[in-house]
Amino acid sequence: MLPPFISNRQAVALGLLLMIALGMPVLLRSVGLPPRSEVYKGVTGAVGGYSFIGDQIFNRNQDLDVAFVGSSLLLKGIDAPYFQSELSRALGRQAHVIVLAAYWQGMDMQYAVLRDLLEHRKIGLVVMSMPIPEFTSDRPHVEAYRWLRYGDYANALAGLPLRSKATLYADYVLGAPRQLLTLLRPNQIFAKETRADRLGSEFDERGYYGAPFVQEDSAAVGIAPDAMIYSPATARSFDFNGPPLGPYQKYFCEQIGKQIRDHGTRLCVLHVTSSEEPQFTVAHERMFWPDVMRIPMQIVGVPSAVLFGGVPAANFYRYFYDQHMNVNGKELFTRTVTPALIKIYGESGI
Amino acid sequence: MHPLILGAVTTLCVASVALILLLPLESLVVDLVYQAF
Repeated sequence: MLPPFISNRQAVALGLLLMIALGMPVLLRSVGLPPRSEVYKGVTGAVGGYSFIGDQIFNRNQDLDVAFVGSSLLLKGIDAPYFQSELSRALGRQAHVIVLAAYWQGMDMQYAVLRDLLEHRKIGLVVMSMPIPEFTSDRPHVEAYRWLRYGDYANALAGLPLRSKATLYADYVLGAPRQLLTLLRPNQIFAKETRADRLGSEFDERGYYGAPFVQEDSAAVGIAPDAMIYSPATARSFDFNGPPLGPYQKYFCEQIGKQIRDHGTRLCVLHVTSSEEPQFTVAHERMFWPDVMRIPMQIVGVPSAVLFGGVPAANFYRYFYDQHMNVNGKELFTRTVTPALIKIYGESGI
Repeated sequence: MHPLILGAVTTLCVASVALILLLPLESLVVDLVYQAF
């Protein structure tokens, strides 16, 4: 059998290489990380509006009335220009609304975006979507190795279980070469991508899993705003008994609650309808989020059977391109829930 | 080969593989899928 190395020198060289790779996050931390404003620029626009997110957080200072923060379900489900126009009309002044959302679900991503945003801009109301039951990961967000560096949010991450800390360290190692490159020269993706005219929203004109796109009626379903807001009177329209989040995701829910509380802003959880819930008679959330986040909040949702009540069952999937809504669904959903969100914003005393 | 060197390198290799296994698979391939092509 051949030996793994032909000399001690070769073995030491491999050992040193591995030590540098595994220790690079710590080395970078001691040398000095590039500014946090660079991290979002380092993620391709193909997986969400990270450049837009970074621009909105670090280069803008206008107070925001409403910030939508979540995963791609929210990115595809909310028509921010429409909502901003309706909110402006209701307020009698120019409202300021953005959607900061990215592909893949993960409360750690939502925590990071929210925290960075709250540290730089004042927000009247944060609207969040939460993971759907089909999301089973209890590990870091897929792109965490890009937007999280060793040393970021040290206090907030200190309470994570050891296994989660080890997984995050693996992310730090994976992302360290890019952070090193950013130290040497600025990221260059940012200037190429903008979605400011859509306020961060994405509009998809695709049919369901490759089917041809068919334009459908997207007029709002006439529901009283109070009927969409969770309360004892509307509790029958909501269900909070889904599969619970794992410890990692729950931990970041708690941290989000802390951020909301510490910055004195308000939170609304918006149930974004997915194609996994045809004819559901309740808005199905996995957990009762006020208990998980330990803060008071509003919850808005419309059961699928109500939202699509006027749509023939055979046409239900014309409002989606996979789990996500296409423009048909986006317009129907946004126009329907907008009155409830405006009502909540008005009641938040901002 | 000196057993201490072999032991140290083996430990580093095992640690590297363990860290890789902790990561979501998508994190390891996402750049290939979305940026390289």
